[in-house]
Amino acid sequence: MKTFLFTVLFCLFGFLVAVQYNTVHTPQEVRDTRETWEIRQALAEEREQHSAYLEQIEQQTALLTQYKRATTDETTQVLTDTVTQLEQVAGLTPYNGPGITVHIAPAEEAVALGLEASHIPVTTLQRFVNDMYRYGARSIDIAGERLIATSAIRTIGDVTTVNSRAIQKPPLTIHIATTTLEAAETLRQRLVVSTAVESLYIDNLTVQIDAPSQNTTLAPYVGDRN
Amino acid sequence: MLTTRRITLLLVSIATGFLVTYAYKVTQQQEVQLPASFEQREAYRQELIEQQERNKALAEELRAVQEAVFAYEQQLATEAREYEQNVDEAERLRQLIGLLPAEGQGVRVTLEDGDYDPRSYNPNDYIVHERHIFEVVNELKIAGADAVAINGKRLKANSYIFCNGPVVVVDGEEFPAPFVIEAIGERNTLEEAVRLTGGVLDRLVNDRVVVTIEPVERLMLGVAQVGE
Repeated sequence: MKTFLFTVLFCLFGFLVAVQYNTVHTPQEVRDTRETWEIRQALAEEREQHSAYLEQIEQQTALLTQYKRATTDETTQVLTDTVTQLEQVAGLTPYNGPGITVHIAPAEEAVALGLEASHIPVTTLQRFVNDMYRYGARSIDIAGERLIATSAIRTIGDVTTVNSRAIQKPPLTIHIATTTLEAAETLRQRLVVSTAVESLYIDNLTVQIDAPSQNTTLAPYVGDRN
Repeated sequence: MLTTRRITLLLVSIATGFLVTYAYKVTQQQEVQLPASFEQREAYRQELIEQQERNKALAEELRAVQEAVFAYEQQLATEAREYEQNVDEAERLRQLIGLLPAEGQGVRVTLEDGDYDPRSYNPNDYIVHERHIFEVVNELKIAGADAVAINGKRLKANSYIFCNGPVVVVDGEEFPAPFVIEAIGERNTLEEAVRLTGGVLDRLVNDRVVVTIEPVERLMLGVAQVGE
């Protein structure tokens, strides 16, 4: 009887200790804060969008007021200004402002080995352009060919073309426009470590990225759009 | 003998009481912690929803103002011949930039992940990648597409696409498969461009992507998102 009681009591005791040990020592679940973080990021994006909207509304309202106030002579002027401003956004006018310049040249090793310089492979160039836009480029000019909404980079034979015109073999220069000088610096830093630059090295090309400049010039798009 | 038993019982009771209290406290503490982070998340979520609603209202406001501008311009164009050219030019440019919705005949290309293949250990072998979308968009542009949209998102001149695990990100917005690429332009030309032997379609099929191409008589593409 006595032994039985002891057995029961100590079993109970042992069980409780085990449960307690387990509760205290099971590492507390690492809380998944990713969702909160994701929400915050989405929020930040929405806020940016918010200010972009406000800016646009202000601009358009101003334009409307201008139209309504304008006399007959002035109306022509306002219309012309509108068209010029739209042409600027579309990339049909030259650009001068903050941005960076990228030089692509054949690698010295390749030249020393006597390899003939060839065109930039089209996929590499496309990837490079995509990365530039991803990292904040506003507009791009590749060897004098400005990229607009309908521009395509393709290969005809073994010649790389932009806007259906052949671009020169490296060495060539790419000009990139950004909104601000800080944005240009961010773009430069990100481009340096991007995979697109690495793939240019694989193609025996070297990339040199100049320091951001307030005086980056982009050529206008030439050619008929339709 | 009796004393020993009592002492044992006492000790066990004390230990049990201690354990019960301790366990209660630990559990209580955990309960207090949880709602704190939960509430914070809810607060952010609420804020996000409010911001989205504000943005939606702003987008509508912008549309209204823009429409007023267009309407005024159209009116000007009818008033005098000299305005007409400028107004037309402005409209064409707005189409190009994506400030105006685009409408017209075109082609719709749908890319879907291939079926699960038990023989393949790597799902990368049969899912849609950014380069597939990239190739299609590029081919459509070469064929002269005037406007392109991916899953309803109109592409701008400085749009970018990248693969982020199972989703593809277009201008910062994530899209899961299937991907619907719509392009406005001469539909037969566009379709031919994609179907060309040894071209995009063949490469996609080779990568086990399920592709559907359909020419559409009337496509509507919305306006591009404002901002950079």
